Amino acid sequence: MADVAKLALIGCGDVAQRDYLPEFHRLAGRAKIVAVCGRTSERARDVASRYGIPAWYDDLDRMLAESDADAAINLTPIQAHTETTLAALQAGMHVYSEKPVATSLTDAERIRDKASQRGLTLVCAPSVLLFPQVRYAREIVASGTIGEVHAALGRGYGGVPPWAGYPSDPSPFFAAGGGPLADMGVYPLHAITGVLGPARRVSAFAAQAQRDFVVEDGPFAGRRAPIEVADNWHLMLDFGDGRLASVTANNVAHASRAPQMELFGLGGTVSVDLLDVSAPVETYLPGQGWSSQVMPHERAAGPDHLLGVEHLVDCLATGARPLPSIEHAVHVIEIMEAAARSAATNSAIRLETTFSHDGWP
Amino acid sequence: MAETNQVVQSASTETGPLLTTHDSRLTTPVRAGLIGCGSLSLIGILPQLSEPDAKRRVELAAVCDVNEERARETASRFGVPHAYGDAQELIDREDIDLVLVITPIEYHHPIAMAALRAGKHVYVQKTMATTYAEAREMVETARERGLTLVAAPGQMLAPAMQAMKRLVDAGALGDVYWAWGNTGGWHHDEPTRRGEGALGAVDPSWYYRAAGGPLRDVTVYVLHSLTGILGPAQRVTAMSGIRAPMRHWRDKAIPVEVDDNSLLLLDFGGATFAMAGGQSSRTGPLMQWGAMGVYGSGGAIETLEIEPLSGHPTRLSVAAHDGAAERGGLRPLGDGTYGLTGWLPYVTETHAAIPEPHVYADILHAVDCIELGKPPLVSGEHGAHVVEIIEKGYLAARTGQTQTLESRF
Repeated sequence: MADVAKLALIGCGDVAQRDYLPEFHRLAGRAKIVAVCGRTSERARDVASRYGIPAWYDDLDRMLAESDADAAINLTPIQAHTETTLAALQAGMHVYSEKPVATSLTDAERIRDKASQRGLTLVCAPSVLLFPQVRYAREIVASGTIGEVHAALGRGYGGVPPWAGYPSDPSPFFAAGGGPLADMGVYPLHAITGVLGPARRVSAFAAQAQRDFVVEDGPFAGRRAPIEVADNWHLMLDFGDGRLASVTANNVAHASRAPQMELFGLGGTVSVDLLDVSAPVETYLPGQGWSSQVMPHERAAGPDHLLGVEHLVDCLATGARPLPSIEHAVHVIEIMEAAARSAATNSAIRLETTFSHDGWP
Repeated sequence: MAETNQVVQSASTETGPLLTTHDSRLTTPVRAGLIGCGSLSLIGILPQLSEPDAKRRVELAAVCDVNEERARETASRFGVPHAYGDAQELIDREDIDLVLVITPIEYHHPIAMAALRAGKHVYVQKTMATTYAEAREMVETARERGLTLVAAPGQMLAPAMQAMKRLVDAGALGDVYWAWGNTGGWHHDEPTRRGEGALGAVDPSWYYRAAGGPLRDVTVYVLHSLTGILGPAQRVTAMSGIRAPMRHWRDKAIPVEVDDNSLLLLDFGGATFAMAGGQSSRTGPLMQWGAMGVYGSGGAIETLEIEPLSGHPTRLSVAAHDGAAERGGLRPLGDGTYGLTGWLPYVTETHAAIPEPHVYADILHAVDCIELGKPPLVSGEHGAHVVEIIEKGYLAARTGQTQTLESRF
C-alpha cells in the first residue's frame, strides 16, 4: 500500500456534496480522490472540477476497469449499494459503503462473503460509533458511572423530503429498500447494538401512514413523491437477561425535541444526539441532576461521516480490522428484515447473526 | 366535570390558576371508609382529606388495614372515629356510602367486589385489578347495581391531558401516527419506608410479587393518558423480563417475582402506534415521570416539564399551525412552548402542596359523581381497558405473539 490511499468516489449526490467532499481536506497526505463517478456526466464533471479530482466518469464499470484506486467510496442511493459494492470488490478495491450496505440480509451476506474471499477490507456506515459524542457516551457507560445499561431508547425521525431544500430527487428514500427504518432507524440500531451488543429477538409494528408528499422547495419543488414502503416503525429489541431497547423510525415526528439515543443504567442516564457531533452529551445521576459535555471536534456540526472513510484509510495503512464492520452491518440489516417479518406475522422473531463489539475506542 | 360544577378560579401560581369547586347541591359530605393504610394513604390521601374543604365533601368514618395496629395508629393520627383489621367489618358499616380501596393491587378486586356487593360506591386505586376478567366483573357489578365505580388514575382530569386531547381531536397535529409515554422510576424508596414504627417502615415487598411490577404500578398512568387521548387500543405486543432478580429493603432481601423491565407497544388502528415503558430509572431530558409525546402528519406535542407532586405536565412543546395551541386552551411561553390555563379540578393551592393531589382529585371526582348521579370520566371501563392491555402485554411478551384487545371504553 502506498503512503497515500487512492480513493474512487462513487455517487455525487446530496450526501457526497454535503457531508463528505467538504471535509476531505482533513485526509490530505493520507488519502486522495483519484476518480469520481456520477449518474450524470454533468454532475460528475462539476464535482471533479470543484474538488480537483483528476478523472470523472458516468459509467461505473468503466471507472472500475480504468482506475488504479485502492478503495471505492460508495455513496450511491440505498437501492444501488449492493451491486456497486460487489462490483468494486470484484475489481479488487477495498470499500467504504454508505448505510445500509444492502437492502436484504442475503445481499449483505453476499457482500461479506465476497470481501472475505478476496481478502479486501470493508467499512460499513453508519460509523456513528466513531462520532466523538457517541464515543464519549460509550466511555461514560464503560466507566460504570450510570451502572449497568438495562434499557435504551433510539429515535430515527426523518422528514418528507429527507430535509428542507433537499437538492436531489427524494424518491429513492421512499421506494422499496428505502423508508425511515433503513434510512434513519439504522443510526440508533447501530449505536444501541454497539453499546449493548448483538440483540437476540425483535418485535415490531410497521405501517404505511402516508401515501405521498409534495416537495416544497429545492429543484424538485412541486413534484408529488410517492411513499411506497412502511413509513411508521417501532421495534422492540431483547438483548437477554432482561435488557431491552426500543427504536422508533418514522417520517412523522420531525418536530421532536427528543434526543436520538438514551441509555438507561440502573444508576443514571446518558442522552445523546447521534447525528450532530456538536450536540452536548447529557448525563443524569440521581441526586446530582444533569451535567452536559460538548466534545471538541474537527467538524463544527452535523454528522461526520468522513470519520468512516478515515477509518478505512487507517485500516488500510495499519492492517487493523475495521470497527464499523460488515458483521455489525449484517446484524442490523437482519434486525430490520426481522422487524418487517415480525410486523407481518404478529410474532417476535429470533435473530441468528452476531458480531463482536469489543475493541471500540 | 367543569360543565356541571360551577368552577371558580383561585390565585395563580407558577403552574397556572388553580380551580376549586362549589355547588349548592353538595351540602352534606359523602361518608367514606378507607381500606389500606399504606404509603399512599399516609403520605397523601389522609393529609388531603384532613383539609377543611375536603371534610365538607368527604367524611371519613373508618379506616382499615390488615395490620390492625397500623389502622388504629392511622385513625388516631388523622382523627378518624373507627379502625378495623378486617375489611368486611368496615364495608358492613351502614353509615358508609363510599369505600376507598387503597390496598396493594392484588387485594383491589376482592375488596372492591365485597364493597359493591354490599351496595357501596367504590373508588379503587390503580391498577384496578390484576386481570381483565376481575376488572370486568367489577364494572359489571357496579353497572347492575347502579353504583359509582371510579378507577384510578384520573389522568384525563388533568388540564394538560385535556389540552392534548383537544388538540388531537381538533386535528391540530394532522393525522396522529405515533405517541409514547414514560414513567421514570417506581415506588420503592419513599419516606414511609425509611422511618420507624407501623407508619414509618412500610414494607415495599409487594411491588416485587407477581401482582406488582412497574406496568401495574406506574405504566398504568401513561396507559390511561395515551388511551384517554387516542382512544381504546386495538392490539398490544410487548417485551419484558427481570433485570435485577434481588432487591433490598433494610435488612431484607426481596426476590423479584415479577418482570421489572417491560416495554409495551400499542396499535390503535389506522397506522397509529404508541409505546409505553415500565422500566426503573428511565429518566431523560424529555423522559421525566409522566412525560409524553404525540406526533402527527401536521405537528407534534411533547411534554417539557412535569409538576412533581401530581406527575402532570405543566409545560408543553407544541408544533402545530398558528393559533392551534391557543385555541386548545394553552398559554404561549415563547419558543414554541406553552403553559396551562388551569390546574387539576378540586386542587386548590393548599391541596396542590400536599402529596398525591391527583388522587385527591380522583376521590373528589368520585364524590361528585355519587352526589350528582353522573357517570365518571375516570371510569371503570377505562380502567378495565388498561388492565386488559397490561394482562395481554405480559401474555404477548411471554408468547411472542401480538394480542388483540377486546375491551373498549
